[in-house]
Amino acid sequence: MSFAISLASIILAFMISGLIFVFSNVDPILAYYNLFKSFTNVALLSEAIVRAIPIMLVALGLALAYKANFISVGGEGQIYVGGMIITFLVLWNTQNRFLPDPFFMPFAIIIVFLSSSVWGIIPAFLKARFETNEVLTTLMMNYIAQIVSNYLVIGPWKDPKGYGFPHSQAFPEYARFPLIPGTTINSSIFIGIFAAILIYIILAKTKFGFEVKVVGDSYSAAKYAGISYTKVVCLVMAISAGLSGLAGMSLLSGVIGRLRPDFSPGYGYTGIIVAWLCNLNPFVIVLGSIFFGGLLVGGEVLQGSMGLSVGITDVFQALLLITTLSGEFFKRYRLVWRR
Amino acid sequence: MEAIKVDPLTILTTMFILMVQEGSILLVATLGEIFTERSGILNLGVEGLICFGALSSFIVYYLTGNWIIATLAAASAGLMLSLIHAFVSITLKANQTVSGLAITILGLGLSSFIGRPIALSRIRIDPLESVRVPLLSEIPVIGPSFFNQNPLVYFSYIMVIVLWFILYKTRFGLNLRSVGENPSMADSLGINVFLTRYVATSVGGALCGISGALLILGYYPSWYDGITAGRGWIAVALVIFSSWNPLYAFFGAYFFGLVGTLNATFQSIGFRAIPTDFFRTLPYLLTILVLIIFSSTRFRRRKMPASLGKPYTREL
Repeated sequence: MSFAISLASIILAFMISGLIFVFSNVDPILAYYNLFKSFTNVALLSEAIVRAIPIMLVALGLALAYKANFISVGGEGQIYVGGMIITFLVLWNTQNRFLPDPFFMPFAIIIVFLSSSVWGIIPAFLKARFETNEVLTTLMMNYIAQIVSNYLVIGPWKDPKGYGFPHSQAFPEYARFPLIPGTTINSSIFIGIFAAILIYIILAKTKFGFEVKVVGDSYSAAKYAGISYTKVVCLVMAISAGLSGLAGMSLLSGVIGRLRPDFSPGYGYTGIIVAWLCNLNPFVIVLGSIFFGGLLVGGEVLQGSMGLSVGITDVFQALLLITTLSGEFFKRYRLVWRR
Repeated sequence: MEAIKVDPLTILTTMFILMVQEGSILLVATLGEIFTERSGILNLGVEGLICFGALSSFIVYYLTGNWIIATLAAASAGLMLSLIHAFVSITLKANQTVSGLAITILGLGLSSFIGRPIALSRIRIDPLESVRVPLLSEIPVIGPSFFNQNPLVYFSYIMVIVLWFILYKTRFGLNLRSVGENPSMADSLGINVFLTRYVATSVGGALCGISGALLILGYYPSWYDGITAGRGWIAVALVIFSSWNPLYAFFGAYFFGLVGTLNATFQSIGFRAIPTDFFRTLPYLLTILVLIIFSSTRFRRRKMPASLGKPYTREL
């Protein structure tokens, strides 16, 4: 029954966006074919997986936060923080050469994770201490992170040899994630898979995971059981933001190869949708991210071949979220006809 | 470069004009969200509603040249999207935070999708003309800023009073507030909880749409993606800042309007000691600060609608 409802939700989302295609004079069959082209073509599928990596990292972290009923939407800002930290490390290392090349990436992964964690703990602490709404604080921090990152790349971190283009210097080879031979997929995918296993273990096998779920179910039950709300949400957000920071690093070190203005096309927000649609299940999130990565590639195909805005992928994602959310109702309640 | 000499009164007047322009956009959206939240429904779709309203008013104004029809189009655009939120969160009792986020993504996505040809064509429209209020506009500083603006700005002043009157002085307002505080008690008194919440959510959504019309018709006569720049989220925060009261929203919105204009003001007087990007982060930093102050229990406990964000299920 539950599966049938999920399926019905997905079909409904398809039908509504199909209507939108029809109204904008686009052949819906052709549009859907383009939107899902990634799953018929190896080169495009590889691109889909490339886009899936940052989405996966963000969504896995968010899933943990959502389990504690901490509705963070801060993934986007944390991506920018991660991007700034890795760029800082690259610039610093080019000047001082403080690390031998092979040690740079492991060191950078740890530093990016920890610094983004600090950024993520801020809204968690504010919620625990002052009861500030975490949706608003994390969102405001997204804008701040993006403005600061853009300021740095246009100002002090601009490549002096870049002919005035607004980007940092290119990352040297030792600061890049090597590609998996024969594909365009970079090796940061292993961080994503490792993170999925880590989140699964935390939630299913540890005492902390249990505490997270108690806090998520009922604030007062957690208090009664002697679980520290502050400790749980701060730790949860540290992990969540750390992973999103790594998503930013994976984008720069894995794909773009330098810091650019507005370098994340909203992966932080896609991560929110993926986390909810995959029911906060870490392994489903890995697959869901690949599906959404494909959708993003499809959106670009649509924009390229049919001149439609990539915004349509956002519309489709939002519709999918709304229909799935609506489907929950029919899973929870059984319809009974009375009189 | 030498700073241009301008007299302080002119600077202040310019600042206030920009403040009213920016603040009115925030004000209308904040009023809408107050009305919705007072009934117990949390609508985090404001950002999407403003954006979709803005696009609708742009298109209709471009086609008809009539700002009233354009504003009505914006209102209905906001209303339509908020009805989705109402259905999902009132009838289907879903998580309102997630539903609201979905509405924001939907509104932004739809605007980007439909608005792409406009963004590419770089069509511009003529902003609405200001209407001078006799006598009042003669007051120094206050006059040219508050009383020489486009008609939609005057609409925002009127809505402050109208919403305050509805919420505190009418039967319907009393019902609406009781639904937000204690829906089961309201229900037992014969108030239709579901209908009241639907009305509050749609009216709130329509106001958010009008806020988008104000953004486009008043001050940003061209269309581009991301035109709302987080104003919807600031409006949601302003609701907390104004303790769910339309009268306080007036002051909150113009205070944030002032902060949002500091960048332009400092640029115009040639002050360059601080990077302008710093001023761009100010509204967001300030929002966090305001949230910290006004979320602490001392301020909030008495003011927040007790059933905010909680779906209501009728006992059988």
